[in-house]
Amino acid sequence: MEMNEKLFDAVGMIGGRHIEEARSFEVKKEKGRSLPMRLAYAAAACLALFAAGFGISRLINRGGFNVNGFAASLPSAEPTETVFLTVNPTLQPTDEPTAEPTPLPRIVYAGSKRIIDSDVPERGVVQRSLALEEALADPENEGCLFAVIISMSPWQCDDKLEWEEKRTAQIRELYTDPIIVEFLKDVTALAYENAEKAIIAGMAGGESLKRDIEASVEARGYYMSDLYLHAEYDIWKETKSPEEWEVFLAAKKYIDYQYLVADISGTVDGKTSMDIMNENWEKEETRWASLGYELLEQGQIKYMLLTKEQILNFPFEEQYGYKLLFVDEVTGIQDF
Amino acid sequence: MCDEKLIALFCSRDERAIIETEQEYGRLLRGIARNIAGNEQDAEEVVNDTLLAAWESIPEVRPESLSAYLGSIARRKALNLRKKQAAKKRVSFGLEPFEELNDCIPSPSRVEESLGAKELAELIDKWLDTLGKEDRVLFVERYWECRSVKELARERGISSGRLAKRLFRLRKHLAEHLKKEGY
Repeated sequence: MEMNEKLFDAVGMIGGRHIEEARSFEVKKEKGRSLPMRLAYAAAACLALFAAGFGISRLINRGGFNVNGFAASLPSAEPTETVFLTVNPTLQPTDEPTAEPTPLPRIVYAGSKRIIDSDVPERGVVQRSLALEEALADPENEGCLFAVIISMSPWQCDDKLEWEEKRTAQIRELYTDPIIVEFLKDVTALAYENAEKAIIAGMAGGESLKRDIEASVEARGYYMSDLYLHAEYDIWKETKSPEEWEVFLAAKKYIDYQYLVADISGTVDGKTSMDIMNENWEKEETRWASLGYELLEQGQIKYMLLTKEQILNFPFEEQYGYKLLFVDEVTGIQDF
Repeated sequence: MCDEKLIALFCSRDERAIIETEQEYGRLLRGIARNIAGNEQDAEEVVNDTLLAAWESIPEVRPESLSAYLGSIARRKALNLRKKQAAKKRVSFGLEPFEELNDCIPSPSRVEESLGAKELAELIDKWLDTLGKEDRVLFVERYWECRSVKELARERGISSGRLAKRLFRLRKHLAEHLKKEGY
């Protein structure tokens, strides 16, 4: 575990008394300055401004101050258009005199809208964010390089879908014990009878859970999880003999244990879904690099510097969906 | 409804426990989840998962303070969700309060090797007791609830910069305390 993660968890475990205190605490706003104080501050500021102006004009008159140098040292105004432009410092021309400096491409690295967009399109589709589309269409950006992050959906790919199918089968296999199947059928029927009690709809799972249950019943004849069905569970118990109940409990305990083991390990054929996604990412990175689409790294951020043509002809694989976004649309960081 | 009654509902496997807990602590949990996960949709998912985790763990676990217990579950779930999503995009998950806590680690290797989160929590508890009420609350709001500096500053009627300095001093103070305790 990362260390500040441990500290973060530790803060999460601090005593309840501190949490209760914070919840009942009324924060006092600091009062603003009184009117006489504000007037005094304003007068002092005017005096300071006057003194500074006077000092600067004296310097200029004496020739001790280079106005042009001062102006040049001021930060230049940010462009007010929707796209922020900058030049990568590593690509800036040096001060060494050259006869004909080669013009270097500007780099457009930031979108105007700080939107975190996590929707990745369907397989075989390459989408570009709105900000990127606007920047590409802007004639001012002709010949620029665009700094983009590639958002991909490795979880839609064939081997991941296959992995999911295997895993579902693995879990389903656990529930094929006849005792458990009978139990689940009975309890699901009871749950339907009691649905008006809002045991299903009123709980945290709400309508979506109800839909899950209905779909599950339609497909298999019973609902797999008994998580929400404790009331039915108790009713069902009353209809069984103690011996039947014991048999059921032993079977269920075993199945629950197996389920827990399968759930914790989260592996199929020794691989987690994250392993598959990472493998696919790496394969894609290698493929992109071989086509001249190299991933650059800044801290933990991976991005590409691409021309308009490269973006418009982004080499995609049919089994993935992609979205191309400006860096800050994903990270919220503009100056990376 | 008070914690005792809510816990009693959980213990008797009464489904009202979920609804009542949601009413009592939903706002707090949603706030924490939103601050960490970063959006409403994920926050909702975290709140639901937290309530279910409480349903599954009580009565085996009997929390002294339900808000602290639920909050710690929500924090962990929201952090995991955020990390998972960042991993998908291959970017840093960049949660400010999380990163800031780095300042409080006096000797990284020592903490990593020898100290469990629970022991660290006890040390932090002790340290919180030495603070004034306002600082204690500020620490909890920033690092337990993960609220933004901007929001906390606005509530207090001070600038974000000033509040950030106060937080920095608190972190430094905590780092010194941990060091004094042998870490």
